[in-house]
Amino acid sequence: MFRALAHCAVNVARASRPTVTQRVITPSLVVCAQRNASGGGVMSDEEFDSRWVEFFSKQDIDDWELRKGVNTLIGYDLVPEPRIIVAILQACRRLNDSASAVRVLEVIKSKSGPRAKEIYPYVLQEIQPTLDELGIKTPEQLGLA
Amino acid sequence: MSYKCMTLLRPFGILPVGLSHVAHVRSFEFIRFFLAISIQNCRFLNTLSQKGRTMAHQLMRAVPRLVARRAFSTSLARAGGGAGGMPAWQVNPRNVYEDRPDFPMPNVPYVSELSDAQKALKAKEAGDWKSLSDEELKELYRLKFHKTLAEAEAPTGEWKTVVGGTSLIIALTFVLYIIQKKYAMPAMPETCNYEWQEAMMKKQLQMRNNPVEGLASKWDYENNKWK
Repeated sequence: MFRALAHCAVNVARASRPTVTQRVITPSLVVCAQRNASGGGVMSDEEFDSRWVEFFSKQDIDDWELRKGVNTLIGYDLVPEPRIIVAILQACRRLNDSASAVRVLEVIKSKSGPRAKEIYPYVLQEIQPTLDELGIKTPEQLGLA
Repeated sequence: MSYKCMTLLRPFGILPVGLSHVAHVRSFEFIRFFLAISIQNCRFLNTLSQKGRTMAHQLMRAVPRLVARRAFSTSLARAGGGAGGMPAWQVNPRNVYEDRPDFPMPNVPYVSELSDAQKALKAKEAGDWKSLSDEELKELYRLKFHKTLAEAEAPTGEWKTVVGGTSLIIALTFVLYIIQKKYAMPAMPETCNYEWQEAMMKKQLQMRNNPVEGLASKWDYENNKWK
């Protein structure tokens, strides 16, 4: 008797449920095969520079972030754009770290490799206003080169 | 001990806190073990009063606390290294000062303990950098960094030592070889004599060994000479 009652109740419940289209979710092979790091487009040079400028422009940047940023940036196969270097120098100023500012200029020269004679003067020329504004001396002026 | 050495030792449980620390932990563990055994004995023999047992328990519980306090005080050493604490490289092996062009900003400054004059200079650095003289800027640089990148990359001339030392060792082995040859080694076997080999050759020719393409084919038997 109870079984019959229960059966009845289930039927009532089924009948009262609104009809909805149910989407069957089947795991797709395409989704499974997608790797986490393979998504996303290629970052444009412009975006790369902007993101690094944004990183170094953080107002309350700390010592560790500055070191980590510079070390990582130097790890890439490139010489940073002058506007990134300006952001780094200003970060050094906020941290009252004149030594690191000089070091950054040095590492730009070292990073330019065999083309240091073309790239380094160009970078210096581009960042000259910042150097003057902050009172940063180049390693050559300090006799540290 | 170098950074590499420390990382090599790590898997073997030797942490960069120094062996004395480990030794202390071991001795405390021993004391604790000893106390535990004696308490069990007391319970078993029921010779100790309730008060005495509690005291022993308290003592036993105090031991790990002592150990913990000691461990804590060592691990609390200043990360920058210096006064009263461990050197920075002991706190974290990555905190090693090194001048590398591919890692231009080391995790620790070259000079971590500043004198009063240096502290004053640091305070001045917080102000306008234009008011700093070249000498002061240089000194600030040398506080933070040991060598400039140019100095770090400058050739050291070490290759001369390496080449010289290697040549010396090779020369020494020749000397040893000559001495051995002269005084230590037995004489060469007689098959290595010139006479023996000549006789061997003659025999081969008499036997007309390898007459088509080999030895005998190259000997002119009518004129008794090499073709």
